[in-house]
Amino acid sequence: MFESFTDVIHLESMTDILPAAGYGWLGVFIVTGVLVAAVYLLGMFGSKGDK
Amino acid sequence: MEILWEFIYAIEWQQIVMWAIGGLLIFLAIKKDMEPTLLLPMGFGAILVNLPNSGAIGPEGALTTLFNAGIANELFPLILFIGIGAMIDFTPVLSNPKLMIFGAAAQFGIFFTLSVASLFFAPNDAASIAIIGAADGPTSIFVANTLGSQYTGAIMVAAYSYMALVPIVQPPVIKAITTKKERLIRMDYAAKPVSKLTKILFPIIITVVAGLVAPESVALVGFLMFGNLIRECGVLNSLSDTAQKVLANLVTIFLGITVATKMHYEAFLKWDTLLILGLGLVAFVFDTVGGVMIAKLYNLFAKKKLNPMIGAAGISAFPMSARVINKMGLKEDNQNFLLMHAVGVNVSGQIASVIAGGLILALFS
Repeated sequence: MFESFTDVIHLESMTDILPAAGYGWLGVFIVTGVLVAAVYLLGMFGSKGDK
Repeated sequence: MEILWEFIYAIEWQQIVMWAIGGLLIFLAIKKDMEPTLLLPMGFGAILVNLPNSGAIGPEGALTTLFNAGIANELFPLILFIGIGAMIDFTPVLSNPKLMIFGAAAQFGIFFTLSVASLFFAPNDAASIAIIGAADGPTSIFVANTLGSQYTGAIMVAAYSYMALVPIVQPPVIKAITTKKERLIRMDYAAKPVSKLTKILFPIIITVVAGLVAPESVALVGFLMFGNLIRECGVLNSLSDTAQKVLANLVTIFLGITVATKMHYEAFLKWDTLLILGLGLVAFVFDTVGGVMIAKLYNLFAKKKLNPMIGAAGISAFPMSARVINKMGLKEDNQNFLLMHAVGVNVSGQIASVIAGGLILALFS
């Protein structure tokens, strides 16, 4: 009648996905880091545009 | 008369539950002013699709046609992004680019929820549920649909409900993980001038960088940034105005009611829906935790301390989250105005959530 714990909770799926989750969050930081660098460069050179 | 009785007898109790849920969404939209632009059409749509033998759905139904025309191919969320891009002023980020890091930090809830959701759901559904933490409706629809999740309706309801509940969800979490001393940190704001050239180049560079690093995100980022370029270029004011108002409103009307096609009782009334609502809350809570904790980490090394509460605004949910942080700052110290810093983090969160959506697609599609 009741599903067993392993039917409902898929621990093996979590162990598969944990590295992807870690890489995903790290990936957001890497892309954002590149964007921050790009924005600083823009600030440095872009300000000459209004002169 | 017999046909009428036939229709009445065809009513299932689950349909009545869905009418009540539709009514609740309409009530929350009108009475509590919770994301009314989406909750109201979704609530009405939930009633519409759950009438017995509803002609609005099915192969020939108008809502099915709209769904195939605008959501199945991701068109509506992308067009809405043009309007959102035209509404956002990125000046606070451009004058203080390091704030973008907190936008990235506050996507933690997405990846934490992804891990937890994978305990209960198949990877594509877990990833779609996790993206509720993007606190951004179009991104959630885009990702859930691209990954072919069977829970799009529940994901939408959770995403928009929690976005509306940001003033209730975030303050207790922020208070639990910050000290009073930290919440009292004052941050001066001196607006730095940002050139027009910078504002024009910014959306182009963001699109190119995001497209090169995370190609799956390029449609989302590109449409958002295209809207922003229309705003900032200075020569398309009437288009910018149209994108911000008419276009965004028009798509929102269709998006809300069309998403309701996924709220048919057979797909919606499951224990899974409750679990998805719970996981959505987990995503919002851990987004907040991620943003605040990275701000606290930053303070360990920085000479000039930040008020760590601004990290929580990286959750996206623009501009609600920034307002919440400002209000919390003023509550602790009525001279501590955090709004502009929080807005900077908030718009960074908008960009970061789209990037996170693209990375989720890259990992799972």
